[in-house]
Amino acid sequence: MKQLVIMFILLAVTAIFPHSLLADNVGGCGVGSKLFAGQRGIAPQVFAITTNGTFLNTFGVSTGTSGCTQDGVVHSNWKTAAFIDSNMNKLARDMSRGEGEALDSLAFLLDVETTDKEQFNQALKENFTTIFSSEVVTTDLVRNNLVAVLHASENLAQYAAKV
Amino acid sequence: MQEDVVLPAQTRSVVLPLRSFLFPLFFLFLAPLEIRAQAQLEEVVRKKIAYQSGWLKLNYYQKTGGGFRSQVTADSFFLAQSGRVDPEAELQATINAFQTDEIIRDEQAAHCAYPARYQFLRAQLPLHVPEKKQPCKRLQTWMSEINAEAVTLIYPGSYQNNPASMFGHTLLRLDQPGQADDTRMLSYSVNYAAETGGVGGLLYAVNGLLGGFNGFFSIAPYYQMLRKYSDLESRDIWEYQLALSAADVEFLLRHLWELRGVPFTYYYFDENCSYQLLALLEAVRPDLELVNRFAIHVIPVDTVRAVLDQEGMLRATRFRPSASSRVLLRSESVSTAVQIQTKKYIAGEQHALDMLTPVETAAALDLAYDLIEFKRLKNAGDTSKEERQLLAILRKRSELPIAEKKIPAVYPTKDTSPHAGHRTTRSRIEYRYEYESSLLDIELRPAYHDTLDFAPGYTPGFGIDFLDVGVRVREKSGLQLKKIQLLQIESLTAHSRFFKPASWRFSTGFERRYFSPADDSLQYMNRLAVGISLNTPFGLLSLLPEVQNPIASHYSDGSDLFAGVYAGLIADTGNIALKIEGRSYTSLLNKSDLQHEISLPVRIAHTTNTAFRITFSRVWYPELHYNSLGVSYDYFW
Repeated sequence: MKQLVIMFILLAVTAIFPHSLLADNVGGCGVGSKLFAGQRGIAPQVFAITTNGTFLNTFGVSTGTSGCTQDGVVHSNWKTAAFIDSNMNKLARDMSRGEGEALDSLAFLLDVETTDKEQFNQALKENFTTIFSSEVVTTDLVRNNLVAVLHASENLAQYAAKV
Repeated sequence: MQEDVVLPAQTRSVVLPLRSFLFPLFFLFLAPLEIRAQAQLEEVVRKKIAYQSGWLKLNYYQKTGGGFRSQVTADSFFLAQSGRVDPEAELQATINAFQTDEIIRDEQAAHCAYPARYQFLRAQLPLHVPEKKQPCKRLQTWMSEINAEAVTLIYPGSYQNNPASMFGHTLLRLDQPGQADDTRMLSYSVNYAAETGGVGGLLYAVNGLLGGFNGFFSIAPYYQMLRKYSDLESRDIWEYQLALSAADVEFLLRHLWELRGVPFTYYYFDENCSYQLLALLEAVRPDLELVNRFAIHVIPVDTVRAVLDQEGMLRATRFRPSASSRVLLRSESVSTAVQIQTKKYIAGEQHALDMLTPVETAAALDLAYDLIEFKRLKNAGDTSKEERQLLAILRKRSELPIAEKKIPAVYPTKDTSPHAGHRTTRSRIEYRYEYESSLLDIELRPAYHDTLDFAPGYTPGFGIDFLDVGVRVREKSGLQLKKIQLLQIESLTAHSRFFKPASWRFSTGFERRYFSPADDSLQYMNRLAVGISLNTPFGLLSLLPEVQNPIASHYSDGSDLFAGVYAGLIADTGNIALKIEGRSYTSLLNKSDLQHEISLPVRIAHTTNTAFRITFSRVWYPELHYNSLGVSYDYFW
């Protein structure tokens, strides 16, 4: 029953906001990795890191605002999106288990109250299949799904806005 | 840390008009010229501040011959024309720049572009450096986003089968207030690396060694670093939280802001990532003497030791197993039955887990996930099959209301932390009786560890000897070169149920060999052996087919090619360890008889940094057989 409610909200949300309800986060900041895709996992779009011990010195090069970052730090609007984008495989792992570092970090970014933490973890675990609907799911889809799952719970809905 | 300087009376008085509008006419009249003039430091004051360690370290000045030179290579970092080589001129130019709110660099006024210099000089010379009311918005936003209250030194160790990484790496993490251990991945980290512009191979090596690259500091979320080091490269990570004060951490951030885009000289051996992190810490805490401990080469783990040796510097230690260590630790934490069923399940037997209890099934799925994910990350090709498999595992897992069986944290004890291991330069003195003569050997190996050295803090089965040089004294022949082992690498990893890695050894360098009873001369020898290692009740057993390529005038055409097998057993009980090594081989070119060598060294660690070795060896060469027995004393420093 609950799954149905979520599916319904998901459809409604997608219908009302054809592109995404996360419009402020698209464009400019190139988040949009696939669950297991990209350069060995999730594409490092936010911070271009090359292999062999050297990495593109984003801190030095980027002055002012550029896409996701300002002066080398993630723009606060995109903090959660950038985190999900970079850690989707770990989030999937932790959500399936209902615990873990990536899940705790997500809750931290969403300012989930300690008292709601267990419910938060449980809700994401129970709705794992909804959130990660396929192995090629993208960041924006995961975020949309996450918002829908949180909206389905009266208590957790307050955290959806920060996703 | 910072003392104020008492200034002569007339210098003090001229500051007043700047702050006061009580004498507007006077101020107006004198303003443009007078502002500069007030900033002019008395020579005695200027010298005192300019050559103080605080100012020298903040701008990376090093003593050279008669003067100073900064390791920062860009003139644009300096405000004085001669700033790179003249700490005094740079100090004066900085003081001058702080007199105005003029935009001088990167769209900022001097006190915003150089916030650490500003804080430092404002504390040292309050009468020459005016207080700034105008806030630095970009700096403030940047600092509040990073939001650091503590600094953690991060040490990713070596990763399997990759000699380039064997020395490890270091970076800093800027920990945020209110975080728990489980949310540290959200912190920012500070990395220092050479900008190579994609240059590889020989050019990379030459540039790295001779200082052809520039190094830069950069920051990125720690989760990016975890993905790189922990997941993609599968390196174990040690995290050492340092006891720096909140004021130090704030000063560090202000200083990092100054270093945005600033190039430093980079040398692979000494002015490398780990060196520059030490210099950075010294810029923040000039009272620390970290860099001076290193003369020729800087090995990351030694810099960790240098930092943690400071009294009370270590606040907490945490160990993060790499992707492959996670699999090993997890597999060891479940029963053999679960391991076997997991393996079948991964191989495609959908019902392999049906016989397990729900708790066991959860553990099996967690293990299966970690294993396939590790393989996927390593695999550069198409991984769509693994991806489908991973999602199926996670879906199944999400239906089980069972908590994760936590990986036992076996590594993060004091004994196994890398900084607790032996130091990396080894000197050795050895007395040997060999082939009816006695010898005294003296050896020096600048880096790093061999598989028989005291093991705590190092990866078992891993060894890298760099530039191992020895001389010997013999009654009749006097002082002679014994060996120059340019490089020896051992990478011995045991097969397990889930991993079947190759083990290998490689060495290249000069060594002595008896060609006849009267002739033991130098030859150049290359060796490469590749095979497997197994964990046995007696220790780590390795069987490696080996090729050897000796080069010496003794051989017809000047060289030869041997093929054979290398066998080794390392039994380590802690303080005492034994190695049995043997090789049998024949020449592929001359069809010579089989030759054999065996060696049995026993190592007895006295302390972490001192050890005795007793080595017996015997060779069977076509020309001669002989024994050798030696006793040696090793000192690590």
